[in-house]
Parts: sequence; C-alpha cells; structure tokens
Amino acid sequence: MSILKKTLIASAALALPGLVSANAKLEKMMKDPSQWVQQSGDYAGHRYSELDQINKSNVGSLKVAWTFSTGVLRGHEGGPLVIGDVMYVHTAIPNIVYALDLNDNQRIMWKYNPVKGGKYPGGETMDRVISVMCCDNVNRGVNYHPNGTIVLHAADTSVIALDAKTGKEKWVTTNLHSGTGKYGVSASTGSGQPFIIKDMVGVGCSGAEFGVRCNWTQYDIKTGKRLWRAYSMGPDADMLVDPSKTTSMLKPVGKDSSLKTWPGDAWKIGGGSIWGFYGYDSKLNTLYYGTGNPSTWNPVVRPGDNKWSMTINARNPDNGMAKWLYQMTPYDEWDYDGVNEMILVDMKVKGKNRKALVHFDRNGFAYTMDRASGELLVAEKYDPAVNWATHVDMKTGRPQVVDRYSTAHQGEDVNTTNICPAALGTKDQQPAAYDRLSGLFMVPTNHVCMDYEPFKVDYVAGNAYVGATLSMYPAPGGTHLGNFIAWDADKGKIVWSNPEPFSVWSGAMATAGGITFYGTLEGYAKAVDSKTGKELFSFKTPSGIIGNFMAYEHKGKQYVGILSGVGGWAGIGLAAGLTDPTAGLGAVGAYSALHNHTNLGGVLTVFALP
Amino acid sequence: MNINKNFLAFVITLSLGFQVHSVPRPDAVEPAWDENDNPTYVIKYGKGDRIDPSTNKPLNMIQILCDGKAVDQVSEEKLDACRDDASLVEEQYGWMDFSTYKGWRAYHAECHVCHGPDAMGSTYAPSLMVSLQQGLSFDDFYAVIMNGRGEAEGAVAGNVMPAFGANTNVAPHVEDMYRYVKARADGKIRRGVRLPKLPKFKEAE
Ligand code: HEC
Repeated sequence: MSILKKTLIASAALALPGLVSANAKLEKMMKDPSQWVQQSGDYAGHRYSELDQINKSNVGSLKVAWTFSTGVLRGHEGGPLVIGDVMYVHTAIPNIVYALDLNDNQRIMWKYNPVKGGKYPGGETMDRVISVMCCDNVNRGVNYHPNGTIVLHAADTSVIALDAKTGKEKWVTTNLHSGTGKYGVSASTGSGQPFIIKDMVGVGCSGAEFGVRCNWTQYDIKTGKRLWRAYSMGPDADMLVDPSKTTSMLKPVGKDSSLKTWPGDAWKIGGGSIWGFYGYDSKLNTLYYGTGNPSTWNPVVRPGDNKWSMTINARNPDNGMAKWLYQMTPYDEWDYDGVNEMILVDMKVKGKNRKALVHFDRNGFAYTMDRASGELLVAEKYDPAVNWATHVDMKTGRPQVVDRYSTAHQGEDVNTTNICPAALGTKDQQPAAYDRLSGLFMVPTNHVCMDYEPFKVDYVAGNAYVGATLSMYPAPGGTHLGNFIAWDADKGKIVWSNPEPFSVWSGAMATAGGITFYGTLEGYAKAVDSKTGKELFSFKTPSGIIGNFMAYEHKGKQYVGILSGVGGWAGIGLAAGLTDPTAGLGAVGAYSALHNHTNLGGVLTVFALP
Repeated sequence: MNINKNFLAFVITLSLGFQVHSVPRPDAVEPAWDENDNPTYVIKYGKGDRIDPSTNKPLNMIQILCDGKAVDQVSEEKLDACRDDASLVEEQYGWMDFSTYKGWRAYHAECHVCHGPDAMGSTYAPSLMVSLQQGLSFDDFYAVIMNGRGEAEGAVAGNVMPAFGANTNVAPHVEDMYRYVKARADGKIRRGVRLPKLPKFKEAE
C-alpha cells in the first residue's frame, strides 16, 4: 500500500497546468488532414483521412507518385508520419529513421541509426537483440511530440527522443533489458509504437515468448525521466491497481486480483506483453491498451485466470492507476494475445449513445465496450470459423470454452486439433479503420486454424519459453487464408467480406472519398468501396505489405503512402504456404506459397492522382 | 547411444481425447542410427481406419505418398502421374518413433518461429529441410545450433541464428530434431502432418 501511496503523491505533483496545452496542440494537428501526425492518425485510432480528392470515382486512375527504399530488407510494419512538409520513415532492425523533405523531391534531410558499432544504446549487440525478437525484426513506427520531438522505440527497448529538425538525440533511455539474464531480467524487446500523451511518452514491451513480466512505462518527454510503470501482473502496487476503485465488469477487482490467479511465483515470468496500437481519450483522460498472452504457452503449468494478461486496460496516464480492466481470454490456452488496437468511437449501441471502445481481439471476438465505465456491450465472432468458444457470457464477460478445443482440458502432450482461429488470431496487430461516413469498421483478418500441443519446458533466462508446438492450416471449407471485412460494432455483424488468398496483415485506412485502402501479403495495395467492398484499385508494390496506410496533402494534392516489406509472423507462417492436412492429392498446391508471389523488401510507395 | 533422459514427466499416452476407430499400434522401437552413425528416424506405416467421429473426416495423420514420397515433395509431373495412376498412390497411417516425435515437437516449439512450419523456411531463415537435402551434415547441423551464427560467422546481413548451447529445451534434443528434419527431407512426412508417436522405448534395466 505504501508504494501505491507514494506513486499517487508523486503523480499528483505532475498534474501541472502547462501540460494540457501540448496535448491540445497535438490534437489540433490530428484534426488537420494534410498531416499524419501519429501512427493511428489520431488518438481515437480511427485511421480515417478527411481528404476526399481521391475518391470512389477517380481512385481507379491512381498512379505511383514516388517511391523510397528504406535500405532494409525485412518486415516493415507501421507507417510514416507527415509533419508539415517533412515525412518521417522508420525501418525494421536496425530501426533507422529518415526525415524526407517533401518540398525538395524527398531529399534525405537526416538519417538516424540507433545501432552504433554493432550495438544498440542499451549495450546489447544487434545480433543478440535479433535473436530474441519473437517474430521477425519489425517495428511499428515513430511518433511525434509538438515540442519538436520524434520518438523511436528501438528493438532493444531503448526509448530515443530525436530533434525533429536535425535528427540529433535529445535523450536516450533503455526501458528494459533485452539481456542475457545477466541483469536478472530476461529478454524483453521493443516493437510497439511509443505513445505520446501530454508531455509524456509511454511504451509497452514485447517478449511474452521469453518469460518476461511486461509492463507499460511512462516517461517525461522533456527529460526521459521515468514517471511510472504498471506491470501486467503481480501485486496490486506493481500493477497500479486500486483494489477498491479499479473495476472489472463494473465491480471493484478486490485485493490481489492478479496474485490469486497464478500458481505460486509463476506471475514473475507471466508475459502479458504490450505491443499493439493504443488509444487515448483526452476528455476522460484515459489511456487504453491491451496486454498479451500469459507465459508459457503451456496452460497446464499455470492453472488460474492469469490476470491481467489478455486484458483491456483503461488507465489514468498521469499516474498510471487502472480505472477498469476487462480480461477477454482468462487462462489463455491458445496464444490469443489481447494486444490489438483500441478504437474509440462515440456511437449508438443498442439504441443508446455511448462513448464506445471497439476492439477486434486475436481470440476471434469483436468487443464493443463503454469506454468510460468498462461495461461490456457487445461481444460477437467476426469470423464464423471461430470455434474455441461458443459465445461470451454477457453477465460474467467470460468466453464459454468448448472442451474439445481446450488445450488444457485435452492436456499436456496431447495434440488438440482443428482449433479456430490459429495462434495468429482472427486478427493480429494489423489495425482496423473506422469509416466515419458509413459508421462501419474496416477490418483486415486471418482465416487460419491450428493444432496445438502443449508440453513441459524449462525456463532458461534469455531464451524463448514457449512450451507448445503447433501447426496451422486454412479454416475448413475454404482455400483462402484471409478476409477483409466491414463490421457493424452495434449489431455485432459482418456487413461485407472479401476473401483474400493470404492473411490480410496490413493496417487499413478509410477516407472521406468513400474508399478504404489495405494491402496484401503478395504486395497489392488495394482500394475498395467502403460501403460495398467492391475493389476499385489494385497495384502490386515491390514486396508483401504488412505496413499501415496513411494519407497527407502536399501543395494542394492528396497522397496515400504505404510501406512494403514482407515478414512479421505472417512471413514465417505463410512463406512456404499452408497445407490442409485433411486434403487429398487433388488439393496439393491449392494454398500457394507466399514466396511464389513476393520477396523481401523495404520500400515506401506513395500514390497520387495523375 | 542413449535416449535422452532429460525429458522427465513425460506422459505416455495416445489419448486423443476422443474415440477413433483404431488399429493396433506397433511396438516401441529403439532410436535409430544410420551406417555413418548419424541419428535417423524410424517411420512405420500400416493400414487402418482412423476417422475423427466429430468431423467424420480422416484425422490429420494420414500419410499420402506419391511414388514413395510425401505428396508435397514430388514434382508437378510426378504428381500428375499419381493423379492419373492410382497404383502409384499410397494412403497410409504412419507412426513415427518417439525420438523423431520429440524432434518434431521441439522443432515446432523452438525453431519454427524463424525456420517456418514443417521446416519449410520463412521470409528470413532458410528451410532446414532444404539444407539437409543439400547435404548439411549432422555435425554441422549440431555445431550451428550449439554456437549460433551471426554476421561475423558468415550469416547474411541482418540474419542471426541464435546459439542454443545453453538452452536445456534445445541442446539435449538436437539429435531428435535432426531425425525429424531428415524425415521431412527424405519425403517421408507430409506437410502439416504430425504422425502419431510410437510408445517411448525403454532400455532394459
Ligand atoms: C531467431 C530466429 C531463429 C531461430 C529461433 C532459429 N534459427 Fe536457425 N537460423 C536462423 C537464421 C537467420 C539462419 C541463417 C543464418 C545465415 O544467414 O547463415 C539459421 C541457420 C540455421 C542452420 C544452418 C542452416 C544452413 O543451411 O547452414 C541450422 C541447422 C539451424 N538454423 C537450426 C535451427 C534449429 C534446430 C533451431 C531451433 C532449435 C533454430 N535454428 C532456431 C534463425 C533462427
């Protein structure tokens, strides 16, 4: 309790009047459609551009305006920012940042590389860091603070503040250790965006496959000083949870809400990583993020709900205190990380106006919540193939798990088969967009199922701690591995659905032109009619797309940009294609391999009307 | 050579959690070594009728061989020949020996995040099946896994093969992983298929 009090006192001192103005400035910039100032476009995570020069009637004649090679041939997630006349582009490891002058044919104004002499700022070699990245060398992009700072969250967990004008380091701090165990902490990595709120920047952490106990840490944007840290699991004081004030399903969570749900000390290496896209509501002064899977993947060794892994967190960004928590997948048995983006929309739900939060979870359910109270409003499957649970009980908020697909029920050393979705989830990190015109959500999805066999493993500090083995294949009855869908978050229903041969692993963007952009793993940049899903434009970029679309306006002209660079988890699973183990001779080759369609890359493609 | 005794608490059941029309399971076999003293697999085939009653579909354990090789590993021409001539096709139930099974399991837990499912490779790490087909020896296989390989040791820029020498979930199972990858390389296990395991072989006390 005393630690808790200290945190509260420390944070009270922070609530200075000057802080609000930085926020107001950033929010004003977000409203200006000629710029793209944060990874998600805005705090609400709409990924919506008010620009309508490119629209339904002319998008068919879209042309490539210019391209830029990042010089790095690995998976490129996230996307560029445009602040004024400058574009900021990041790369996969080594996490280079470029500033491009849009007034001068994209001349490179500065280039920053955090790896010097083979080492990241935290002291680890790049080789070591690569070897503990779970799923390729990806990074989900930089963010901007209006005091003229570009913030990078590098793979070794270093948080780096750069002068937006010069690319010079303002400060560097290493958040956690991507270390070898010599620090007593094991291999954390950084891949999620740094998130700017007021005069602070917050970062999550990756590494649930490496037995870390992840957390959200908030820093002072001016100095890099650490302000608070909230762990995903452990004692209340570590998690910044107030047993009597923090709620879940509208009720206080009570004392030791996390500790009670883990056997012994298992929470100490409990995972719960945070690496997706986040949301912030400045009126409610609330930060929203999701936590990932509990570690290990073998559920048998950690009976209990494993709180607060797999949880939507609503927190006060000034002191970190949790307002409400909602655990989507208690006692994860399938690696259904809860990290996916939080989309904040004011909308009617069941006839009532709500400040809603919409979240498309890896577990295959799309949740609509009241973001002020944490009340669960809608929880429905957004892929009919989802079978591990029949439904979510709206009273308790718990998914009703089907024994047949419960890897814990089936037990250690048993191969549980035909579970949908696969560990990739119905959707992974690829963020959805909210179309303000139609009120629909544009969602890139996976359509893949799996067999999963948990088993016992030793925990070796600094090494992967997985404890399950799995095989993946297309969902039954189809030959495609992905869908791009439109979702009604009030009714909990799919409005239209376009099948795609591969998982759709790129972030979507909807625009006031009535169109939505998304990319495919073969490398196609596509535009569809947001109302009907009809394809209006398609262009094959140099490599598979796992990045997110963005738009900006320069000298009166609208541009749309996307990073290509195949990789990420999709690049692992699908490079060689998937096969349906129940298919016979005739079906061999039906699920074609990604490597027949595309190759490694790292290229930004920018489109405009001729 | 010994079976690895590191694997404690291993439950030996083939309880699939649901009933199958099963055929008698072959007996346990000793871990195998080839003429050059390299670890190798034992795969047994038999006939039977294994249907998953909940889906009424064959379980994912059916081995489809086209002219003696897993169907995903033969050329398009050969596949066409097999489509035309049913006598070239064998649909069988396979079992892998316990060591190979452990290799399958360790591979898909520790290595597939980089080397892809079924040892097929990913966008950034090579297919180990292909490495073996192209002649990677057991000794080299072993050395790379124990010591790793970074740019300094000749890896492609930006590629790192981690060292697993100190990892007790990997180091004791390198022989078994080699068995599994070899069976894939020889076209004895079809993609996406995990053959059921034979019971664990117990050495005479
Ligand atoms: C972090 C990613 C990663 C993991 C995990 C990983 N590898 Fe590798 N491995 C690589 C890369 C990348 C290379 C290729 C290095 C190069 O460019 O030469 C490689 C190379 C190899 C090679 C040499 C192949 C050849 O043809 O020379 C072997 C053998 C190998 N790995 C086995 C394994 C095994 C077995 C495991 C699991 C215990 C494993 N690797 C786990 C990334 C990984």
